[in-house]
Amino acid sequence: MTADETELTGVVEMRVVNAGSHAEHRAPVLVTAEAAHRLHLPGENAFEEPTLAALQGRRVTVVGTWRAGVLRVREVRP
Amino acid sequence: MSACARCGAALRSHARFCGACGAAADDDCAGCGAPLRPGARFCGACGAPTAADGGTVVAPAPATAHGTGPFLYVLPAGAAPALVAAVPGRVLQAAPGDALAAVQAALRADVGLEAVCLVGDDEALPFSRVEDPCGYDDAVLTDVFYGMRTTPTAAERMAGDVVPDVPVSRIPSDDPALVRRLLGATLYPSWSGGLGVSAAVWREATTEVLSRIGAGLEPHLSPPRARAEVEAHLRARPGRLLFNVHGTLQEPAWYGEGDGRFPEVLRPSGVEVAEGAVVFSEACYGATLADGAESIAPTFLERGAGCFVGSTVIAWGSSRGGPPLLADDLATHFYRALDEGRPGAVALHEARLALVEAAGGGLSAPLHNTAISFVYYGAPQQAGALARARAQLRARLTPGAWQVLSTGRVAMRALSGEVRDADAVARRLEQLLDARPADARVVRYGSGAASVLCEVGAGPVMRRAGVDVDATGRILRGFVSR
Repeated sequence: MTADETELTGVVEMRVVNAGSHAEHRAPVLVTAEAAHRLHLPGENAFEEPTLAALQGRRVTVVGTWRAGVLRVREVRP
Repeated sequence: MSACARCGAALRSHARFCGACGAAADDDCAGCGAPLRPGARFCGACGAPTAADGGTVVAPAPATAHGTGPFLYVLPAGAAPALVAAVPGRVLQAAPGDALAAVQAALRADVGLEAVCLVGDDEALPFSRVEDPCGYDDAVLTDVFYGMRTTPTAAERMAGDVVPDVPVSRIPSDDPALVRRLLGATLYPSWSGGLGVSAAVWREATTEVLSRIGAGLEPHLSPPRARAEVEAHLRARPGRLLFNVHGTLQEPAWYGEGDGRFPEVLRPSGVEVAEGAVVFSEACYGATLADGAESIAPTFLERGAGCFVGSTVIAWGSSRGGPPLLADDLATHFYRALDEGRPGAVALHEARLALVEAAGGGLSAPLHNTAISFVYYGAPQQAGALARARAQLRARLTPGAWQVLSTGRVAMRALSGEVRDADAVARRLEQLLDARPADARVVRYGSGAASVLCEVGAGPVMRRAGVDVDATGRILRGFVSR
């Protein structure tokens, strides 16, 4: 893990984000003991997130960097 | 009596600007001139530290300027000589933290300036950042304050003070060759061979917009269309484009929506357009500039587009299946103004004004964001193009067909202080029309004959300016004929 990366552990859920706006959609979030964090896997469809959506309900550890309030995931560990 | 933080001259009580050097007085932000909340440590408009932040206000370094002309080109301090040489006419160079204040000071000093063009990206010449009243984004990024003589407060913006005094454009590049090409670009003149792409869920609104602007084409809907089909259409190099799709800060990609799916419709690698193409995107974050990676908006410019209009934050358009709204209307007004002969940056300026005027009063949060977050990437167009547009308008105008052009916030402020003196109002209207008093006819009408209409010329070259005043003496609107 590099200095600008963050590691979080929690459960992946799909939640509605930007509700009520033009950008409303379901997105993966990692629910930790403290908060819920939006996730994105760079390179994947940002509105469908097939890889992260497939982890829904699973407890995982993710490593990534923040951009605009979203953790851009480099690594996912069970 | 306090002193100016920049030059030390004494300031009059309650002065908002230094009479000696034009810098904002110390109850306003030293960086951008916006009024400060009592005790604020940072400016809510530009983020600059205030006197309350450690007790020291850092006065902006003097900006440098040279040249003359109706357009003010703004370059970062320390720009490469080749970039400076690529820009004609009047040039102002300023450090990132000083640029807004320097431009606003120039606008206050020279009311004849017709447009501002920023040459540089967000790092070189930062967007202004204001709190998002919709609550979705950390901040709304905007260029409109670069076209204003002072930065409006949040309350002033929500009351409708969101239209700059002059049009603002930005060339988000330090590449002299690209800057030169955009400064000389002629915008593509028609929808022949144009392209409309829409998320399927916004089909109704997009179809209506394309109809209203006379594009003569149906939108390509996604789904079923996806990136391969859209990029195939782009290889035909369309000259005018409208995208009503999704965007995000997380990927340099735009997406459709329908049947629960969000197909990708575009990435930078697929961008191809005609020389001088006009691109309007309603995508959220459609105008995002690369954050260390490629992004779509600058790629359009690099591949030949003459201009790109898009939003820096979440965009607001129609609901699913609903009629055109906000960004849809902005696109409609923009393309209509282009077809009426306006230069591109002026077309967005007028589109913004039309939205605000249609609101007829205070702005909703989505309208506020629509008005300030859409930016124009490209050149302001040659002064000749602006003069031609004005000539076309004047030639077309007949006494029975005059239209409102602008309420102009500075003109409105000046008029509002003079409304009880109808002769002073008439003189102001004559100034707006560049008319000699002997050439102008003044008509008073309305309740108590308080409203004033000033006419100059006759027949097809007649021009009019006026103010509507209600029974209490409050100005309802000001207008200048085209």
